[in-house]
Amino acid sequence: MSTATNPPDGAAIFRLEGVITPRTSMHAAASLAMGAALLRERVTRLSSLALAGPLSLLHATRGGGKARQWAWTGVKGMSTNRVTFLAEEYWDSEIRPSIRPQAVELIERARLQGKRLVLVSDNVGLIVDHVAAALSIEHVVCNRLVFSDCRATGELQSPIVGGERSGQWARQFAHEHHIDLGRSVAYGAQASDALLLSAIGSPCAVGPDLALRRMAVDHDWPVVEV
Amino acid sequence: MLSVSDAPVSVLDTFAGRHLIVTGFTGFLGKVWVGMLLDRMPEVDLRLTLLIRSQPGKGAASGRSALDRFIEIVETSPAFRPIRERHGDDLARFLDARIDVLDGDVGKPMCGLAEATVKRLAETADAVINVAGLTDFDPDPIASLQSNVFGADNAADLAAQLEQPRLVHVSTCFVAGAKGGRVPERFEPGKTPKGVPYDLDGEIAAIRSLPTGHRKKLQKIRVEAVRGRATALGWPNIYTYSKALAEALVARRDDIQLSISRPAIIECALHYPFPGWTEGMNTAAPLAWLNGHWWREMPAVAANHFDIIPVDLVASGMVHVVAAALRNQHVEVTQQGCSDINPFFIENAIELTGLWSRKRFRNSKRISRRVMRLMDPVAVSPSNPGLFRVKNLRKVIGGAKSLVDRVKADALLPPSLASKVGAGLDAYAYVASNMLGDTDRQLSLVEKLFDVFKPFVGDTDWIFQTSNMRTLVNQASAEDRALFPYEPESIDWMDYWVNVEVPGLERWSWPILRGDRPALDPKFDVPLKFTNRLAADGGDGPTPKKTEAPERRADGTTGGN
Repeated sequence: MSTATNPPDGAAIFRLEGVITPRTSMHAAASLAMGAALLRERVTRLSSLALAGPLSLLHATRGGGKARQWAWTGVKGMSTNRVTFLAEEYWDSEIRPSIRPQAVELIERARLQGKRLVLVSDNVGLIVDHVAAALSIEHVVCNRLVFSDCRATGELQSPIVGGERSGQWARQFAHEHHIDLGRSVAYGAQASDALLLSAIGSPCAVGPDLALRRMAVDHDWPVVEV
Repeated sequence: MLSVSDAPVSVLDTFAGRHLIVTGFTGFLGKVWVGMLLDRMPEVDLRLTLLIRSQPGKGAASGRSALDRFIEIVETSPAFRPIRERHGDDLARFLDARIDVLDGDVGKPMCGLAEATVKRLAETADAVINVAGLTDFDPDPIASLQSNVFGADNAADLAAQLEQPRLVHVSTCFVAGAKGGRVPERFEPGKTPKGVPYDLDGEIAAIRSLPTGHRKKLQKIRVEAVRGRATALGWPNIYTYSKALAEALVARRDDIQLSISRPAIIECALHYPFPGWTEGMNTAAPLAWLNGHWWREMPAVAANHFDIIPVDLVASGMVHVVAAALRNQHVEVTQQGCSDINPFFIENAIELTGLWSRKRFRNSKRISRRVMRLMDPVAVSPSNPGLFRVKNLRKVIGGAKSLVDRVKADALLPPSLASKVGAGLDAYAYVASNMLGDTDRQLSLVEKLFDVFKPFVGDTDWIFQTSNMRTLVNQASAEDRALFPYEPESIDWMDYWVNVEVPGLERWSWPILRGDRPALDPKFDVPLKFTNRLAADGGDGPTPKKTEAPERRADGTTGGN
């Protein structure tokens, strides 16, 4: 039977940053940059990362892609081995211990409801894939680092996934995977998730920042405190 | 280059009903190879005659017979752990049906076997597998000549007595010497790595003419003379030189069917007997030890290949080489390595050792360890090793020591103060002087290590071609390839180095560097009742009575081989 004749599935979309863990992708980029082999490299890599903060503000209205791109220049030139190792170390030491029990509960509830689980993050796949595997989440939407000759180029594969673009990719993802956004639920934590939450039938704010909390109140979205 | 035959051949069928004579069983590779053969084909009717050198007693210590050594290995070596677990109480019966132990010594003519024994072996044996060898880089040349060079020739003499005179001789890829570049699976008779013809008999005669004697001074003269000769001809050390001479010696014979198996740098097991197992001091152990501890700068050419291969892959590869020889489809030279198919580089080894250190000491409570894990080792140019080169450090330490040695409270302090604190100050100076002396000794060891390993990490870049080896493996059936997997192309280097190799070295090799012994497996409560049929039939082995268990130490370990 072709999927076209089946009613579209509902999905449960979880934002990694803020919903599942308080760790941000900037924190991950800084941690990985700090894992450079030489001390002087760490200083220069962190300096370049420091520019990502102002850039992030400057480009906030244009999707924040430039800032995200800039943040990951901190790993430029590192070997594939090193970046993979540091990403696993970051997952193990930073994200795994900080996974919120409430988020795990929400994921399990969605699984029981038969929803397709989607993890969305502006972090990189080398880290996010560990989270998805640990939480048995089938779909991952995140950024991917570009490697050339076993070295990181410091670039992200386009299109760059970011909070402000979440609404766009969510529609595209729903189309490609035969998902009914109206029957779907999404969990966000930051103002940048507003577009994603707006595109979904059942949005929910988890431990939201101030701006998203206001929006949630305005739109009557449920709020889960963490 | 070989070509793959159409129909896959069965390794198991090839080994069925065969009788192999094996030398070098007590070594690292020998144990793994024999252990793997017995473990992976328990149903195959295969008979192995192991030639093991008995060890004479020294002073009050009693000697150990070949059988004692065999039993001790079977009972305590981790290489036999899978077999012990598989057969349990039935182990002695299983081994009795497959193994004979003879007192043999490859360094002696006809491997030290009596004429009658040779005659008896020749009636049934299908091949001689010579795994014996002295693998120290710069050993006493006399011992090296005896074991590596004459050992190979003696094994060939024994093989020549067989109805099918097959010899599988284990050599090393590094007989290629200082030539570097792509090294083919080919034997180039009569030429040094520099391409200059040399006289094999002349070389052997020259080593034989060196002054004999056990005095350290004489030994040092011998080592320096032969190392100098080896280097001049293009071999990096006595080991590779002796292995090259051995190859030349056996390759010029026309009375044997010869297969030379050349592994690259043999390292910790990938799977068999279990991940990470190694024995003794392999090539990477001291280097990884330095990088895994405080030594941060490694004089090495980062971009050079570091051709390492897990011991069980070499053992598997050897199974295929021996199988081809038994089918009379022998290949003269096969090389087992990774550099041509899944290259691993010096910079990878150094970087991954640093990453292992990050992982290993992440939760360490010691501040020094936590600091160390954040300081990655790096490769520095061997020709310009920078400010922290060992020589400079030794100069600083030496200067500091001579300064501390001159500290005498009586001379430095006024008498009234000296009488009060003089004794304490002198005691501190004494302790500091000792510590600086220790540090200097350790640095001298580091300097020596760099010197010994320089040829493998600094001077030459080798890419060993392994197409013959892979073709042989591809001839085997899928089931046999699963039993004896030889897939260097599928090694995930990061996983292997961080999770298998360095933890294995830490567990099994680094204790030796600290002057300790890695613990063996606990002995059986009841000694193994191995009867050794061949010796009972009147061979050269010890009397077949049940051997007494070696004296057990307080820590539960026994003497090693």
